[in-house]
Amino acid sequence: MLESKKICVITITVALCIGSNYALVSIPNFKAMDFFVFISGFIFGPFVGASIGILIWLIYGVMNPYGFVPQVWLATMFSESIYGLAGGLMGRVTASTNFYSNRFGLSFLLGITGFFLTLFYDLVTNIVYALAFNIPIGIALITGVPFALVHELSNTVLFGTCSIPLIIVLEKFIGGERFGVFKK
Amino acid sequence: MAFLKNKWALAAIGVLCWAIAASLVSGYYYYQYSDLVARLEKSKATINLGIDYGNGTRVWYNETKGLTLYDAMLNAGWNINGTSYGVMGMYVKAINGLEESMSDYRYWGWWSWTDYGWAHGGSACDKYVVSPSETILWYYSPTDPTTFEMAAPP
Repeated sequence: MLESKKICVITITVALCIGSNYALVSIPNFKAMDFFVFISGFIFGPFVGASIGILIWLIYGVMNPYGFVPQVWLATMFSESIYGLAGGLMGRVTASTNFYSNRFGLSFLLGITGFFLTLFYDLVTNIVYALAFNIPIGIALITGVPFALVHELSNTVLFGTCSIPLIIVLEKFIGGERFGVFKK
Repeated sequence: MAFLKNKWALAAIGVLCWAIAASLVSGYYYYQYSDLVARLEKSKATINLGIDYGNGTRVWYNETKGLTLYDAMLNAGWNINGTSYGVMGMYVKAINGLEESMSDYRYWGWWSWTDYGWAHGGSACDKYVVSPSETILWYYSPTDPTTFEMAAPP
């Protein structure tokens, strides 16, 4: 992809994610951002995915309605980039896979990936939150379980159900031939 | 990506996710339960609890801890036989083997010591939250056959 196109994709996705974050601010721990970052990485590669993850938190983290804590901000930036990175790596691994013939298995795999990535994200951010506010790590992790579960389950469903349609549409849009898009 | 066709591998991953989520939930509820028990333990009051068998025998169990009167009775090691009536609370039929007697008009009732003497307990023992240093006496009360009014402890 051309550099200018890549920058354009990054900018639009970052804007989309920040907008969706503010739109969903009243629903704690349900965000479409993680999904968009993952898909960006999946289609455009790990570098673009990770960059989008970092850029979103660079902006949203500073103007976060829930408050600003530098340590937590850095942790979310790092953890969010993992979604893009993992998406990019998964995109490379599944590039030759036909998404039409392996739909169920892939949806399942993507859902599970969403679950584990979110588990990692919650683990890192909760540990950093505990260290920042001098709270015992075990207590911070345990008391955060309901919020973490909402985050993990919503991402599992989102990743599992919406990934393949969006990947196929985006791949068609950019004129790619991966994931069996033009081999149906 | 061959493993995507292996249903057992997918099921195993699904079960792993369920196990993680279930462990997190059980850990959360265990913590909430332990925290609640610890808080309730701290809020238990120390009372002077007594029992009068109506035959001149009165035994005191001072410094008994409890959240409710029933809780304190259990902590005192009493053997209680009663029937629970839901929100109405527990009706005590027998304490330490001595049962109420309809023929003799003797029933168990609890009394709280006040500046004016013994005051009859106004609620079921498991619904009454005790206050620190309160003096409560269970009395095997003689009851008026016509008015069913319980006699106060002597």
